[in-house]
Amino acid sequence: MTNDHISSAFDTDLDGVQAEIMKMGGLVENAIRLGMEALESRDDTLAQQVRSADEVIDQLEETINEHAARIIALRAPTAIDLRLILSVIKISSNLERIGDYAKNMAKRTQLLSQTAPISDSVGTLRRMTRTVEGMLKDALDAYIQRDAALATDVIARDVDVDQMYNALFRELLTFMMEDPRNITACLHLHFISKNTERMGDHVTSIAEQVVYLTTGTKPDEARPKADETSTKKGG
Amino acid sequence: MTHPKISAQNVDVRYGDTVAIKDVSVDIAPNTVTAFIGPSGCGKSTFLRCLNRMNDTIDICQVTGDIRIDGEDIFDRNVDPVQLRAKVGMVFQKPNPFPKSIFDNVAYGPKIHGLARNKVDMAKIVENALRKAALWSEVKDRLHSPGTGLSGGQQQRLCIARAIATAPEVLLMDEPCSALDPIATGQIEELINDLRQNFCVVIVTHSMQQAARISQKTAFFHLGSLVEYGDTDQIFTMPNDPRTESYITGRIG
Amino acid sequence: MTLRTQSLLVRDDRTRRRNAAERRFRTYGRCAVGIVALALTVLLVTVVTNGASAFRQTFITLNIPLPEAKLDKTGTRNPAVMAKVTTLGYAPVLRDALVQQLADLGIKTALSDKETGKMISKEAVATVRDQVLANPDLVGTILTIDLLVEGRIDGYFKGRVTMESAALDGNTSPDALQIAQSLADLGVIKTRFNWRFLTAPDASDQRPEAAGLGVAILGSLYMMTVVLVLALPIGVAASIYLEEFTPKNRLSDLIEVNISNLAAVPSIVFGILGLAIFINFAGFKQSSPLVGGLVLTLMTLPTIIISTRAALKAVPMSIRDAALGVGASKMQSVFHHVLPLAAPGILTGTIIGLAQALGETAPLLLIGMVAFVREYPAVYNDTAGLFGEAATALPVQVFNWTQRADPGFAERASGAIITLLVFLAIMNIAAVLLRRRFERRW
Repeated sequence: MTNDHISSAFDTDLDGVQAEIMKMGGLVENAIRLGMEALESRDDTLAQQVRSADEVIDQLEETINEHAARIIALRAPTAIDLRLILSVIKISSNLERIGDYAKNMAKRTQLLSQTAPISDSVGTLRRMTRTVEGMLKDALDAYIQRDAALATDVIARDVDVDQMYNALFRELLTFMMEDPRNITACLHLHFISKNTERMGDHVTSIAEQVVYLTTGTKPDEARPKADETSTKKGG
Repeated sequence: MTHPKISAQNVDVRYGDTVAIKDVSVDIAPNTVTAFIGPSGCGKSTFLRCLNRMNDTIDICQVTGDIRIDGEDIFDRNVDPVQLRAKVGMVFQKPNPFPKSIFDNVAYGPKIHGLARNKVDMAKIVENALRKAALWSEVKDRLHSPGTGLSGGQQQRLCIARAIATAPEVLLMDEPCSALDPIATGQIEELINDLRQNFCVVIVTHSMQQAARISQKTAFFHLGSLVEYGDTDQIFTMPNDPRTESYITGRIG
Repeated sequence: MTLRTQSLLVRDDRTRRRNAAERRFRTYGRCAVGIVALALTVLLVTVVTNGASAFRQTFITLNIPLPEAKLDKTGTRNPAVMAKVTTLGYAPVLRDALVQQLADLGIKTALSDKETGKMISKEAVATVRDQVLANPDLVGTILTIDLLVEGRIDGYFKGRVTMESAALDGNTSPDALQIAQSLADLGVIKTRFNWRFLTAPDASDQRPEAAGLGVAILGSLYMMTVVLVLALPIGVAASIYLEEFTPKNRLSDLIEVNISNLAAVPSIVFGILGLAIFINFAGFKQSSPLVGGLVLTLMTLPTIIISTRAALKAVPMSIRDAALGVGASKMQSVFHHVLPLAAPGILTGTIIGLAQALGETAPLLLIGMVAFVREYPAVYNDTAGLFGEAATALPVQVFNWTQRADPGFAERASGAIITLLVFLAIMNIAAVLLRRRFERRW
């Protein structure tokens, strides 16, 4: 099967909407990285940048949805083309949520810069966001290359993010128990880490879309969940 | 499929030296609409015409293989093609009503097969067929006006009424909507959906959307072979053969 | 690349040259049509001017006393007995009647009685005799009857014979013409429309005024009947079989080629064929309408077969498919659907074939229809069989008359041509009208 449709306009449309996804993905990666940088360096201006940049991401999601709807109406895509459009819609939705979490991180960064820094908590966070960033990059690469193996790998790495979240949860608990004045900062940090863990879940969802797109079936193993915080007592 | 209505095994069709259909085996289920799709010249119409032995009328056409309807071999020496065609009706691409009145058009089949005992019986048969073809309300006041005076969609429905008047068990339709506008097409598709309660319908169509809309099973033909045959939803969401996918998504091939 | 933007309002060279060529072609076309029209006009004008006069004839109203002494000596009024008096006996009766009439009207003449008697057509004598024998009670009365005048007198009234030519003519004289003119002035001689031309049988060389097309028309009619009854069913059946039922193979191609060739065979060959087979071998009567009809049937068959095939081919395949799809057999589809739709074409082809056959001369000459036939042929008689009595045909009659010396026959021949053309025109117009009437659009 050649990859070109008889109608080249159809190909142009599909390429266009996929390029928009990649652009959105790039913007979201940026947002995560800059957001973490702002947190580490307690840079309010950078945090503000990240917050306003989210508008572009939201706008892109709307544009992508419009384009996808247009393709469905005009081209009546079937089989692989249909799966492509459905995955584009879902991926853009996931990316938009990730962007929102990054924006939230930036907002809390601005609040955190007014409190005293908590030692070393940022380190774990940095590792989490780096992992999530790596997962997102790989998921998008897997998407553009239609690489199901890479996507499956990304899904597996979500376990690490969950485990890091568990560790950070316990760590923050100890800080809070040590000194009640830390509670505000620790709670913000906790929300940031929770959001990052959610980011990881959304990236996993993107990777699952890639598997569906390339193989036609959803990955049937239950997504590995290592988040024990709601199950185990006392952390 | 437990009891296929039509069962074809290893069917080959040759026009002189050219091979039109190569080793096609397919089972058509009763009370379903089966769609044959494929690019031009792939043999779907040729195969359709084998099912009621219309290819017999073409001298240079040779059909080999086994085709059974309800288990009976239609190429058996004892089978009279004329009788077969009363059981397997056909509707053609271009509406072709006889240049007679509407009533006579529909009554012709039952008349030559002796299905009506008297005039009253015949009038009933004609009315039933026209009702089933969703044409009765439009023509009941002018049954004796010529059939050729109707619009395209009405003429095609008249041809369908004519085909079902002989109470066939199978209805073969060769691109029945290709000469009609979208509204008439919609009406015919709705009609086909109703017909499948009583008949086994096999429809050849160029429009994949039409096949997707009205059929329960789809067969994809390519260069004289049957490439893939399965449930319509499966063919259109996740076809097994890359050639099928190519054709359905509008890629070259 | 610069695009030449030419104004639409300005015509470029190529367009102008092409338009000029088209105008030239149209002129050529008009010239061609003009030539054909001219030829046709010349033909029609010649024929009509020569032949129109054949439809008018000069008659003299004569009061004939019928003396019993001469006509019915026995007095029994018995036609069988009276028949013994031949035309030789009646001739003086007419002569005396005319002489008497002239005297009564006060027309002075220098002619002898015999010469006077010659003014009446010799045919007229037979007419009077037939009348008397049919009606014996006329004997002893005075019969007032319109009788044909002699050919030269008739020619005088039609402008063919002048005083100058009469002076040189052996059959008449200027004096006779003078008498005729006086009688015409008195209204005794009249030139009026001549139904006899169409109903009377042929007449001998000396009596062009009495010659008519009756026998020829009847003969042609019989032959056309034979052709219709034989050629139509055979031709249509053969055509249907060839078109619908034979498989398309070498043999059927061969047959098709041969039938087309048959249509191109010169008609005289069919005459030879007819002579050899029907007359010499099968023993039919020479110059009978039956043999003529059979020969013409052979000639018309290819035309009918070819036009029927064309009509059958013109029925679209979709109708046959539709019929077969509903479960009709091949024969049912042909007879219930294809044939009714092809009928107008078949009808037209048949009429055209018949029209062609009507005008054929050569084959009929060869089978002996060139003879001079005076009696109306009956449809059936015991010795000759159906259509067995000798007859002649319209075109043959034309041929016959053109061969005769008397100039009166030239007019007759042209008149016969007009009659033939009228029949052909009627048949062809009927063909066109029928086609228009039954033509369907599908």
